[in-house]
Amino acid sequence: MLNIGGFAGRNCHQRSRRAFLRAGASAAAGLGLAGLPGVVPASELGRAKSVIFLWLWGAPSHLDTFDPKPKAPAEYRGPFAPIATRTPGAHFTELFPQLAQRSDQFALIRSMVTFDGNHPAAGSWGLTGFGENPEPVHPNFGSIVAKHNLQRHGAAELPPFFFVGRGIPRDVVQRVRGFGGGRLGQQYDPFLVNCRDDSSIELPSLDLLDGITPHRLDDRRSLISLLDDSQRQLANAGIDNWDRTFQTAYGLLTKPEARQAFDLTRETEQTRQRYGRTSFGQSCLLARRLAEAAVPYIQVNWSEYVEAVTPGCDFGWDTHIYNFELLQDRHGPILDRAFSALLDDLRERGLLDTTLVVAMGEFGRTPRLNTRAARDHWPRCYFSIWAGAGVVGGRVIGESDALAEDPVTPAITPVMAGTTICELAGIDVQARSELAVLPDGTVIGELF
Amino acid sequence: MRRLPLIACHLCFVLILCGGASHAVEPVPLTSTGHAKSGLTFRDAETLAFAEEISGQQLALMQLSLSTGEVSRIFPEEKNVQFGLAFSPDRQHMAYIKSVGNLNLRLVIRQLESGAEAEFGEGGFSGTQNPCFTPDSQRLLYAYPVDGRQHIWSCNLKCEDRKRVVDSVGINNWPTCTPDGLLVFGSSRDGNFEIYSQPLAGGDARRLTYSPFQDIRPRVSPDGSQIAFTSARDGNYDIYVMATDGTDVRRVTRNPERDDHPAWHPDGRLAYVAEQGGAFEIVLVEVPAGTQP
Repeated sequence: MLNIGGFAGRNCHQRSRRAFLRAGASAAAGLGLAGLPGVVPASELGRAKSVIFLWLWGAPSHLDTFDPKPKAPAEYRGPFAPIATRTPGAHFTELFPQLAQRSDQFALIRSMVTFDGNHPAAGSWGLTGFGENPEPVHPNFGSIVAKHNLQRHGAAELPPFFFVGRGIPRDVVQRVRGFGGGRLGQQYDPFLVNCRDDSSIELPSLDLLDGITPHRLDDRRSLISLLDDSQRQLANAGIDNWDRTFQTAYGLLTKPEARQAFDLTRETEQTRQRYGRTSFGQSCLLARRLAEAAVPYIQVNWSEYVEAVTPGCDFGWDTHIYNFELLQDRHGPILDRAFSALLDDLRERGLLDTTLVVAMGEFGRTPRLNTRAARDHWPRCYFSIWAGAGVVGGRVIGESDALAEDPVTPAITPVMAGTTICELAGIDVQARSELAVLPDGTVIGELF
Repeated sequence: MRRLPLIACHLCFVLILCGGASHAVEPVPLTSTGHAKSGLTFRDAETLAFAEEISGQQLALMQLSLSTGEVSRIFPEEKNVQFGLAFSPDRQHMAYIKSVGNLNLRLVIRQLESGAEAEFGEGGFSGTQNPCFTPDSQRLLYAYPVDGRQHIWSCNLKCEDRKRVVDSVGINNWPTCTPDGLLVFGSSRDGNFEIYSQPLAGGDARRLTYSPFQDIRPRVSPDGSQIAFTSARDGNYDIYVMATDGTDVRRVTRNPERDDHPAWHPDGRLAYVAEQGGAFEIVLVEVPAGTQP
């Protein structure tokens, strides 16, 4: 069923915004995509031993990154020049010279469409393929992969689903409800690890522990005593829902071999440098280490908050002001360097064939500049990037119109992204049916 | 307060002692944190100020003593984002931008001796940028977007009497002035960012650069004869210098990573932010001699 109509999205200004497509659960089936519904080519099913999902939280401008429109009027095009890439006929903006030189390694989708203009709601669409209602919320793609792996292979030394970043993605008002296990249950929520620009690691589930030091981590008796005391404190405080992540952290900390996956100091200085001395850069490096350690799903969150320059927030992509300045001076260079390093590193280690890398935000940004010469929310058209695990590089899939306002090719939706990810992770139609997830989802056939 | 590593300080002293030498020398590191830095400006020959991303959530205003290597925060107790620092030529005022709420930024002009502050009071989705004082220290230039375009404006020291100085399509940014009143700035009016000049008193803009890639962040030298700027014309971001009429372009840096945010020391050397191994440090360098007197 495909419903064409309208809905009232809301942005940070709490203004209404019209979107033109509304899709039911089976929307993708009606969008005329190539490929068979629900499957990837048989040779690629299950090829992704790990998925690294780069969540560009806050929503990057598609025009100022990977879908430039240099011939559009000044009130649309922005100040960045297009540059050639290794994909014939495709241009990026000049903010991404390193990725332009690696475009033969990834496919770029320019016809993504989502169905809400609010960050948290669109975050749920982007991470689960569905809206937040009706409750209970659908599971994050990573939670589906986690449950599938636990059912098929049992518990491993490391949790099956990691969030690498400061916290659960949110805006200043609320968290994304579709961040974790949702209707599959809290046991499939992601395990949170924060990675700082100096390569140090924080486990937020252990935030309540005082006095945890590298020395105490190596002193098993001291550590166990500390953890036991803290667990009692948590229980006494009635913090039951911390138990699972706490137990996981406990297990990790008491197993030195498991801890090694987090230890970025085991990387050479040269390797740490190539990702960039930024939180996102080092997070991408940690994601590579976790993929190397056979973690099935790693979601790297660009930021915890969408907001770009709000007190207490952490420089998300929500550039209602300073769009061009932030992209030029900070976000663009950080993403260009870290993403390029991740692709190179995975390829050099022979991991790219078995690791799927996906980068996307929750929507695009207004093609027409706002009053403050920046860009607001735009769910009608945005981009995603796909590499590894059998995805054919050097392709541009889908096309937007002359102003990048809407796709002129069939829309590609979040549920299609999630279905494709799951297929590559070995979760076929039958398995999805058994898990009761991603009903009627179709695969993005042009990726293969 | 932080101190530079001893070797960096030593190199710094060596360069200061040799200041003014005409031979090219290696860039001298002035910082060692690795954090992103921007908005470099010399308060005087001794003190360099800048903004630094001191954590994943905060940009803070910093000051660095060239003689001791000490780096400290200008407002140690501040918790919110601050950036875009400028000092008036008479050293009586400073201006900066601070975040005071969600998408709510303020331009502040502070009287240095008394600490009295005037604020550009339009909160909410405001986006003032890159303040710069006029040569007579009586007004402040800044970039500010209205109606989908970004113009360059001026205001008095009370953040009042606002006047539009540069008005064109596209994004205008990074105002900087020669001592005799020539305004130099960046603009995307012709497609991508190029550098332009126009008399501060009014008149037509003159295009100074012609590069298919970005020419940004111009800074006029203390004597008004040269413009330092950042350009991606040779494949990545490096620092260049040209005469104020756009001629005699010289490449100052050749770093395979990014060099950006140039600032002139009063003695004619250039400080800038150099990316090295993915980390960001401020370095100081001699400028190659030009062909013009």
